[in-house]
Amino acid sequence: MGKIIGIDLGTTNSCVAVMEGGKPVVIPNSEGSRTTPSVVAFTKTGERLIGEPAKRQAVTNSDRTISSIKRHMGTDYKVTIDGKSYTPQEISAMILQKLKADAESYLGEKVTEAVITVPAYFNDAQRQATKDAGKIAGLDVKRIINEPTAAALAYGLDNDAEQKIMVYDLGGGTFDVSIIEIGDGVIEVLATNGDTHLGGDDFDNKITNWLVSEFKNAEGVDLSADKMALQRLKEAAEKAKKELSTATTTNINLPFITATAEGPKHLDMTLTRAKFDELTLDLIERTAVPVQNALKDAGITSSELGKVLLVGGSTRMINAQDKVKSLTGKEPSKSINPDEGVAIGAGIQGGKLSGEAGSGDVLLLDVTPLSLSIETMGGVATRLIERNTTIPTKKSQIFSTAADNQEAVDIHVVQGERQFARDNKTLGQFRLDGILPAKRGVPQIEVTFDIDANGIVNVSAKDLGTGKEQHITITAGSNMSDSDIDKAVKEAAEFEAQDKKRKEGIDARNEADSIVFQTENALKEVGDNLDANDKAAVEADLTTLKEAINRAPIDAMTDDQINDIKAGKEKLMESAQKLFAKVYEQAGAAQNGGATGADTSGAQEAETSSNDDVIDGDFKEV
Amino acid sequence: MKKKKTTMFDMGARSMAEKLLPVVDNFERAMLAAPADGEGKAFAEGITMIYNQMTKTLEDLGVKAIDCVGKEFDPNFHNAVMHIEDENLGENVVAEELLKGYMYKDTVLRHSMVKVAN
Repeated sequence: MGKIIGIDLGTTNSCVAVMEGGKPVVIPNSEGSRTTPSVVAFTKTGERLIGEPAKRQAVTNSDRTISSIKRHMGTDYKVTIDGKSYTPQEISAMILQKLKADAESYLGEKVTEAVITVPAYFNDAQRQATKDAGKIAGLDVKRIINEPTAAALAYGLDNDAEQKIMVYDLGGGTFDVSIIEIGDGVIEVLATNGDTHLGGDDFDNKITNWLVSEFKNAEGVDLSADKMALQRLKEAAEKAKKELSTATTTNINLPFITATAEGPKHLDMTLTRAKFDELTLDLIERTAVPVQNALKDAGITSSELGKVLLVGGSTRMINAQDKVKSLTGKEPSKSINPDEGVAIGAGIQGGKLSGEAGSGDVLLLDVTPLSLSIETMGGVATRLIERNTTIPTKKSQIFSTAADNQEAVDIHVVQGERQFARDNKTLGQFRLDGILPAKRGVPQIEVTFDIDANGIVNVSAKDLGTGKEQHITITAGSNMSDSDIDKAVKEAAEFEAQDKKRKEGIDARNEADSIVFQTENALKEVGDNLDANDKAAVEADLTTLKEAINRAPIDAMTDDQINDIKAGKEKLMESAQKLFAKVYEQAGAAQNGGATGADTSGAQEAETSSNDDVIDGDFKEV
Repeated sequence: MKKKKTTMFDMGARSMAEKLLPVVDNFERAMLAAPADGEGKAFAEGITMIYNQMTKTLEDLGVKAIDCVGKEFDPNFHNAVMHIEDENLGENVVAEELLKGYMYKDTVLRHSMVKVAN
């Protein structure tokens, strides 16, 4: 197995890392840079440019230069160039292809596998699109991991004792804050929040604007009208910002910045850190609300945080670090290069997956936040996977038809903690048809839930009789924020009593239904062999029970109706004993005994529809 | 081993040369604003001589300016910051050089900052 590279596929910049000699190492690109701009361009001659060269010609070719494509992953957005249409996955694949080629060049060997990071709030569709982009680029994506998780891995927190940490990611164009619980090999994302349009450029612009206004006041000239001067100002602004991360004042020296009738003019100003903080105060403040909201959604106070990690180049700014400290009361961890931390974490995960020395043995596992069920008879949500189960996980259960000769079953997948399907969130629906005509309860439909390590849910239904199978991959926005999850759990608790009662009613009704069905069958088969009085008793009880069932609407059964059904069922079971005995006799005679064991279990299955092995599915008739 | 030393030396040299470029830029700007005649002329001439010495020294060290005006725009050497339509100029050519680009030996030290036409 070759090396598995770790890729931070960012909105503005991407970075690649790999384990080498037991340590994660950032791989420089073909231009010698440790990060690559996430920009793709198609030149007029049809040449494809990726990274720095693409960025350098963006302004001459804006129609055919694509940046920040990450913002469109998982959507139907398409880019049309030269009459050809590209999906976001295809554009991202081009970036990945270059990263792959540069990695191969550095390592001197082929690279076919990778770990790619995504924001923690990415839903299934966005994750799947990222995986697809890797595939198109010729990479087998072994794992999609969350960016805050990768950052935590880079700091080695996966092997620490369990703790809650906050990741403050202020980078190229977006601000993301995540709160995750990590330790002992397991990780859970508790909350995510942020500002999708806040980044380093915004801070540069504040300085640029200040320079323009100061110069205008001093010299009466508006430099913003001079494109060349503006360009120099922008570069100087970015340089000044960077210098203020280590010095408390910086000098901005731009001789011959412009020419007037009086002669050339120079710009020579001093910018203090205090002034810079003042100019960018509102931007820094914008990070406060998402941090507070994330803490709230996670249901914790900042004192419960174990660590705070800084990610993204802009966290080098002292005022950003100070803000983090004041919001959380914690000194943030910044020993890992903030531009590279996520890629390094991805590289470490890649190392773990390929068994590289120094990566550690334990893989991080996510947990599924909410239970997953399918809808069965009476609208009940029958749970297949409990919440907080570590993924990957797979669970199967056998279901059956609700009516005779039912040809198809509708599988309705829901997510949530409520007892009834309609109170939960629908994730998807599909139909399995071609079921051979049979009595209700006879066909065996195996329903399997498969959640892979990337959190992508696959549900399949297989008719064990015909071998026919249908499945869906859940692509609906199934990522719920932690506040939604908490709400779902809380509501479930509140409604628990109510739901329980209603479920009892439904179960009773289903059981009674089942008994009616069995009794009617038995009457048909051996009713004539029965004593006339006994037969009459059975028929009478049968009618009473059927009426009781019909009087009780599935949706709104009253206690009395439930009791009537239960009583009616008991009575019928008693009077039908002799009838069923006759059925056994017949079966026993045919099989020469020794089959009583099988018969008994068969009867049990028929009587109770809440048996573990077979559950009557409320599958709609075709 | 020798190759590694050469590579490391080059990396160090590149880093230093890159930092000197803004000083060279400002010298050029000063030259553009130099008075043609009158009192400051002798002084301006002196500055020009220093500038020429600096350029020669840099060239000897392997730092050379990138000749770009009128040439076809190539994002491997040029960084386009402005775009204009001009029928007098060819397709995708460098119309104006806003900041000189430099090569160090055979790699780009700083891309030319240019205005591109069409």
